[in-house]
Amino acid sequence: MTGVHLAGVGMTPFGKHGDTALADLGVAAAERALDDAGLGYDAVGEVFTASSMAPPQTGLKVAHRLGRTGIPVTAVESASASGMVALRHAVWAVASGRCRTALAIGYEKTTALEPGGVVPAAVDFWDRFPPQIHYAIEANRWLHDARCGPEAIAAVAAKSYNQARLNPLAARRSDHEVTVAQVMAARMVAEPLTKMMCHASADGGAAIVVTADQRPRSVAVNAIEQTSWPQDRGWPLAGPCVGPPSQITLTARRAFDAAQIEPGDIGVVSLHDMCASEEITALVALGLADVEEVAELAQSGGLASAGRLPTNTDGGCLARGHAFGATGLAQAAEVVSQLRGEADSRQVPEARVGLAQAMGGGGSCVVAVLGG
Amino acid sequence: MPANESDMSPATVWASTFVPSKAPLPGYGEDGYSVAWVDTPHGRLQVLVAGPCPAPGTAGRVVERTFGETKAALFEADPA
Repeated sequence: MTGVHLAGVGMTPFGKHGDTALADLGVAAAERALDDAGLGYDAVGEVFTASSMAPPQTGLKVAHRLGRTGIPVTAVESASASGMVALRHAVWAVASGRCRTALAIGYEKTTALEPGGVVPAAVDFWDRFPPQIHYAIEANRWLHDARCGPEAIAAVAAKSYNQARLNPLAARRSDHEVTVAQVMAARMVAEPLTKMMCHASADGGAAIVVTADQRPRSVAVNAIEQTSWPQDRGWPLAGPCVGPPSQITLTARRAFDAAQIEPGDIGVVSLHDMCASEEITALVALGLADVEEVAELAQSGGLASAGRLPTNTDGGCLARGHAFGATGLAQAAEVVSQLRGEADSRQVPEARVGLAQAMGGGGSCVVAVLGG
Repeated sequence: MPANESDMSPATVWASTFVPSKAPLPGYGEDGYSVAWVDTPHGRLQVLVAGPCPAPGTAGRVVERTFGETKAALFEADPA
C-alpha cells in the first residue's frame, strides 16, 4: 500500500468518565486528532466511528457535532477490534480514492454505561462465565509446554503497569514501581491469571486522521489486513471468546507480505492484551518470538521501551485501559507517537516500523504495519 | 449427582483452569470449579470438570449433567 498516511492522532484520558456523555468523548478525541493533523473537519471526506456498547446513532451524533458537512458516516461494531476495523475502513476510503481525508473515531463507556447503551445478553451457556477462562486455559497449556511458571505472565503485567506510569493518559497509573510479586499476590480470577493480569475496563475516546497527502509528522500506512475466524479445530467456540492464535498468524502474514517486510523489521508493537497472557500468545503468533523467548524477554525488561522487543509501551489494555471501541485507535496512536519520536519518557529508541494488532470477541483480527 | 447422566465420548485434557469463585449453576462449584479444553472425536471442546482440576493428558470422558434446568457437559477423569 502506498500513498496513505496517518496524519493526526488524538485521545482523551482513559479511565472513569461517568459524568461525561459518550458522544463528548468521541468529539474530544476527533478534535484533538484534527488539531494534531493541522486540518479542519471540512477537509474530511468520510467518517468511520467505532463502539461496541454505544446507543444507536451515536456515530452520527458525534459526526454532526463536528460539523454538518453531509459526508458519509459509517458506524462499526466489532468488539475489542472495533477501532482498528474503523481505521482499516478509513485507510481504504483514502486508498481507493473515494476521499483525500478520512477520520476514524472510537469511543466507549464501560465503567458507567451510557443510557440506551448495549450490553450483550447472556444467551449461550458460556456467556455467564468469566471471559478470562479462555485465556487462562490457553496460558496453562503453554506454561506446561514451555516448562515455565506464571511469573512470566506476571512479568508482562508488571512491565505494562510500569510503562503506564510514563503515559499521562493511562487509566491505571501506579505511584510506585509495580513488581512481579505484587501481580502474583493479587486476587486469583482463573488460575494462573490474577486480577492484575487482566485488563482494566475504561471509558475513553481515540481518533486518527487518515490522508492521501503526506503531511508534517505523518506516518505511512504500509499495510492493514483484517480477517474473521478461520477453521481451527484446536480452539473451542465457547462464549464471547476471541479467535485463535492461528488467526493472528494468518492476518500478520498477509500484512507482512503486503508491506514486503519480515517480522524482524518490526521495532515497536502495540497488541491486544485482554489478559497479560494474551500479550505472550500474540507475540508468538505474530512470529516475533517463541514462548521461551517471550518469557525471557518479559523477565529481563526486553518488552519495555528500551528493550529488544518493545510491546504495549503505553501500558496496553492492562494499564492504559480497555475502552472497547476506542482501544484499537489508541493502540495505533501509540505506534504513531513512537514512530514520530513523540512518546516522551516511554520513547523507543530508533523505531522505524511499528505494528498494531487488534483482536475482538467473536473473532475479528486486524494487523497494521506502519512507518518504514 | 443430578439425574440425566449419559455418556457422550472419551476425552483427553488439553489444558484446564481452576476458578476460585462460585459457579453460576445451581448445585455445582459452590466453592470454585474447573473448566477444561478436552480433545474428543468431535474436536476440542470446552467443558466443566467434575472433581479436581485435571492436568494436561488426563484421560476420561465427557458426560452430560443437568443442574436445575440447565444441561452441561462435564469432564470426568478415569479412575486412577
